[in-house]
Amino acid sequence: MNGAIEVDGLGKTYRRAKKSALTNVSLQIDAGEIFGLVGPNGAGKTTFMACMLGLLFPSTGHILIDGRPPDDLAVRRATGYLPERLQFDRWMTGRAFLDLHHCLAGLPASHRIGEVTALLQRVGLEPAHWLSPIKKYSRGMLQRLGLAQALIGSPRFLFLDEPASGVDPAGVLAFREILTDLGRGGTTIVLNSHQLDQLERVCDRVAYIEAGAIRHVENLRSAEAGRRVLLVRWLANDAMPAEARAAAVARQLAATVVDIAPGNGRFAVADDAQAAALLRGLVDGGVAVVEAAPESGRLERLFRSDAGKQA
Amino acid sequence: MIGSVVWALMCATWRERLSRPLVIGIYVVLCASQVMMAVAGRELSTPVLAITLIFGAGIVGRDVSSGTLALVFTRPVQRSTYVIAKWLAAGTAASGLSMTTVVVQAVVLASRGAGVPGAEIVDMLAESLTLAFGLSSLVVLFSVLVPGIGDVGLWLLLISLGQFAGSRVPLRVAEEWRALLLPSLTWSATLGSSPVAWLPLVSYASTVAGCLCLATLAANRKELSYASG
Repeated sequence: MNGAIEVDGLGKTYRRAKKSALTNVSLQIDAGEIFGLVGPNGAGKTTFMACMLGLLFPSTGHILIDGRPPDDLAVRRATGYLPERLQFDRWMTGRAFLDLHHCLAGLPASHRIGEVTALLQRVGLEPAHWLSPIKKYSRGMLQRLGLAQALIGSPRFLFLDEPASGVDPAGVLAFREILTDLGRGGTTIVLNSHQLDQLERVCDRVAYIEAGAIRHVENLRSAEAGRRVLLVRWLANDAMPAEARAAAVARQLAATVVDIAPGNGRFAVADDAQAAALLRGLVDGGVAVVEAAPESGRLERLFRSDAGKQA
Repeated sequence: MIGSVVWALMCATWRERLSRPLVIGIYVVLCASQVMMAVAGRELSTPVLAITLIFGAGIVGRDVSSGTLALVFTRPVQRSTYVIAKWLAAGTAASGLSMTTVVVQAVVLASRGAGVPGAEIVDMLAESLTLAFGLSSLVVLFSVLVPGIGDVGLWLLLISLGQFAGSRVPLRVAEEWRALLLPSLTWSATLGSSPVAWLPLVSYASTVAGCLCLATLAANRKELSYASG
């Protein structure tokens, strides 16, 4: 194994619990990868993340981050963490909170003002709130402050637990942009979220965890990742039935017609290129397309099928 | 770097405690009552015990319960550094506030023509200083072990146990129990005496060092995650 994060045979049993929270979890996360964790509540995702952060100690197996144990100070210097429950020091101002963590991160005091200001701006926290006590922050503002805290010191490893929870739509877009930028910059990100569409947009791979075990790891960047069913809707007031034309175009472009009804149809396409060609073909063929969308996300299908198997 | 981290954690602890109106209110009431008692009784007293317990209550346990400690421990901060910073924060604040109260009492008494001998003032200041740091080390240890403000509850339980069992155990055992739970020194009986009384000095230092070592050991073994509940 030579990944940025290596987990081998990890098991965790709480002292007072009757069953294991994690059982024989093994995986490898590469440097610069954005890795998602998905699963039902109580599946062990947060326990897994806490073990990777060195906050919980494994009962069996081990974790190495950059070849070192998670509680090694060198690893901590390269790590950022955004917890799900943002119980920060509520009496502090947002700025003072970041100043404190900038100091705890061992970063030079001479850079503090500039770096903290840049982080507050990066996460989109309005300057009017920088000097307000944290107890006056909304959930979305707390989340932005939490992300700024996690980004202190430009960590190479970022652990985010429900980062977009409670954030407004503009914030969700901003967070996604930040994560994508960090991924491009080589930051290894572990992301725990229930928002399947968000995970699908930013993650390279996603692990489905249930009952303390990894059931499946989905590679969202593989060739088959593009395979999906497109739901296309069109105006149904043409003289010549649009359904016939749509079916003809789909056959011509080797897309599979799943079903066609008046005003809409479902087509299975192999990848983005075939989806684009199909839509272009439909429009060029005189079909008045008004809407096209994937029928459901890949993770949603995976989640449904894995949850179905366990039921 | 460790120095700046300790200082940052101490400042954060002071500001957190002093941001609570209840803490400030209790201190003002304590200080005022001590001064009034000094005027009435014409002798000095120190509120160090109450101030240390109030200032130290949940000094680590509240960080654990609120989840802020998990965030601190994901930073490159040794857990021993955190324990030392909390001890210093509680010790300096409690001793500073207590010593200020003692000085105010001495000034008020002097202004009323009832000056207190310098040696008595030095003794009272030394007791404030040493009891504040001694008791703080014990409170920090208990605070690592129990969540919330259970540390003060545990201390009160143990001191009550000592009182209850006082007449049933040998006097020496009762004295040692009390010295363990109330570690302090008086200037005249130790450094002020000739020759220097090393036994109480070493006993005090070993109690404080032992508490801090145990607190660090417990902190190093502590698991922190809201998933662990």
